[in-house]
Amino acid sequence: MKHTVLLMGTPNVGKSVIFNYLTGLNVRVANYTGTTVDYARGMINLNGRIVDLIDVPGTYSLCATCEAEEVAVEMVCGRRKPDCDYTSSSCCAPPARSARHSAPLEKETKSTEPVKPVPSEENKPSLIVYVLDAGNFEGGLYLLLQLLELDVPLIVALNRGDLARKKGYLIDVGTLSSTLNVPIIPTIAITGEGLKELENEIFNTLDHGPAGKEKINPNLTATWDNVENLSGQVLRRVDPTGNPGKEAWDRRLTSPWPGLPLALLILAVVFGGVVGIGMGFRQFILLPLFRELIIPPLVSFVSQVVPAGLIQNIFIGEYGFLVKGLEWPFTLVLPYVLSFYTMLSLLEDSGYLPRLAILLDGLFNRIGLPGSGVIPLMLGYGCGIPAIMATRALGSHKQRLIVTVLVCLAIPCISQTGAFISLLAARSVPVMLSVFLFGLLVMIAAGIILNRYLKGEQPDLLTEIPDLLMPRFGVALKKLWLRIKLYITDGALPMIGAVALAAVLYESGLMAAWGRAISPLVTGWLQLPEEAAAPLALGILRRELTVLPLLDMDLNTVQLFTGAVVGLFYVPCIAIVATVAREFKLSAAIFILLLTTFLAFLVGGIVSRIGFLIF
Amino acid sequence: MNNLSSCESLQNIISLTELPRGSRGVITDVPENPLLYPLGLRPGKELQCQGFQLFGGPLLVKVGERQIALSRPIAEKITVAL
Repeated sequence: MKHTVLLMGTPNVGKSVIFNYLTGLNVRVANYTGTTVDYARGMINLNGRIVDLIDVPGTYSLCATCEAEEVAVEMVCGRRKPDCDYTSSSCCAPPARSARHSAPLEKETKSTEPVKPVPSEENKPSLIVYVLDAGNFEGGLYLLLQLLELDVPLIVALNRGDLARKKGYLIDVGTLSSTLNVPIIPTIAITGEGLKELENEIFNTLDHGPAGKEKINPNLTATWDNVENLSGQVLRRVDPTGNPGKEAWDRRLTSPWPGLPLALLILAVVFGGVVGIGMGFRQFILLPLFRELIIPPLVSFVSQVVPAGLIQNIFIGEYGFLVKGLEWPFTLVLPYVLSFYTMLSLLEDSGYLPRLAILLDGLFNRIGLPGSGVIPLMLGYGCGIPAIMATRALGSHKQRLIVTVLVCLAIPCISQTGAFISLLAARSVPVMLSVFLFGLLVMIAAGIILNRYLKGEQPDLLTEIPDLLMPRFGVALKKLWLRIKLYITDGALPMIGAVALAAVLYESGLMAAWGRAISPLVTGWLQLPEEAAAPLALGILRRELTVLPLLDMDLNTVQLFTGAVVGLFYVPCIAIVATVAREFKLSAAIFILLLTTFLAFLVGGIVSRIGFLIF
Repeated sequence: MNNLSSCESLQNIISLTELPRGSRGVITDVPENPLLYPLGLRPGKELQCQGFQLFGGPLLVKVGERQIALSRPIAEKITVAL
């Protein structure tokens, strides 16, 4: 028998840790069709019970003032299209532009007569597991009261009691449970405490129905007055045992001084970590593994089985996909994928990113972006696709477009970065750093120009800064594993395919013909050897293919810098173009293709000339 | 939302943007915005001003145990009593 269980709560309560515990590795990210809302979904199979566990996006209420809340209401009702909506005069204003936790709805004000959503009997979820943050009690209580008004079984996980205790709050779980007539399981999700009990309670309720059959106290409708009354009854203040050191650090990190210099330091450490750890993975693990253990037997096998000639070369020749096709994704890119996502997880899980966002908000406003735009920009250094998806969290279409253009234009994905480091670091570290810095400068200039000429407004900022937390090793590992899986399917395999295609083009002579065709541009304007033309054709398939072939050509430092710069600004890979076309319009994708090609060549030529003048 | 009674007008009611850094105040009125209430910014709640960010950036306030960042246009419309 299949059950649907919804995991719900306000944002930042620790839902995903509980979700991970319950679902293991059998997880996927889904999109609620027709919206910009993504959610995680996993299957649990326990002794024949099959449970579809859905991690509903965190919302502050069911008032459907933004897309995430609309989706939450639909999930609770079990309906695909809402023919119910919920507006209540005690909580909701007309949909404001400033609802920033997901894409704001642009619709007319509905009448403010309270109409509750009515879950459909056949399709409603079997159970709601509500995660309530003990340290943020009132905020979570409101949504809980709204959910309790619906006719869906519900159990509560009261999470982070340890942090609440440190802040000086104790919650009378017994009184709360009997007042609300709902089971409450205290949990400390990141240590695992209480999770087994929660799991048992979930399966008990699924098997035997909800414990309390009586309807909730009719006086406990979802109003803020009721929230505060209830909170007064069950919340007790005691002496905080908190960590004053942590509070002091929090203040340092969020005030402009020393927050901004600290931010620079932190970003420098992150950058150094990505490069250093990545190089370590490459040097000591992946390179020896592939160059000595995996590739040689493949090469000797092919040279025995396939006669020398075109076919053999496609396998193990210049662009041989069993040689370069394995080396590039696994020894050149994978190490930096590992190091980048490790550092990113640390940043995400520690709660530092929202602080970085508000430190930078004022500055970013000058290029038309909110401070939170730093997050998709940083994601872009991993891969442009999650970066462009992350722009959904930004308030306006103009801001989404600016960030997307900047990501496509001036932010090298991790594959490209890996290629740059391999290309340049050995020759000259300052040159490598200057490529990245140059990209940064162009990004700022492009942002200023786009902000001036694109139409749109800047929404107001209103957001919570969650607590600083110690990142947890287990959670970080699992996230890393999911991202590596995604890299292998969406990154490494296509790359192998693209290299195979390149091999075919090369061996058939098509690549050389293409090189001759655009040779005036490459040798005359960019002052690079003719063979550098080939990578420019490959670049549309995979970004790093613009740069990697340069490794084997005999180039001087200026030429390397030129090649790197052209590679940096040149077109985004075909997967990104498809994503842009999907998230925005085809015209936006074409604009980006033209802009990046034009700018890459323009800047490349200028850089090359200046370079030869100076050196 | 609140009509200022003669009693309230004796209190020092100012806009949130005028609250000095480090000072506390009790919220008396907030603009219409569905996020304010769930974030803890409701009339009757005490908050502490943590200061503005640089370059025209947002204001940080502490409401209970929570830290909320809000931009100047929203902060201007919130009134507090000292």
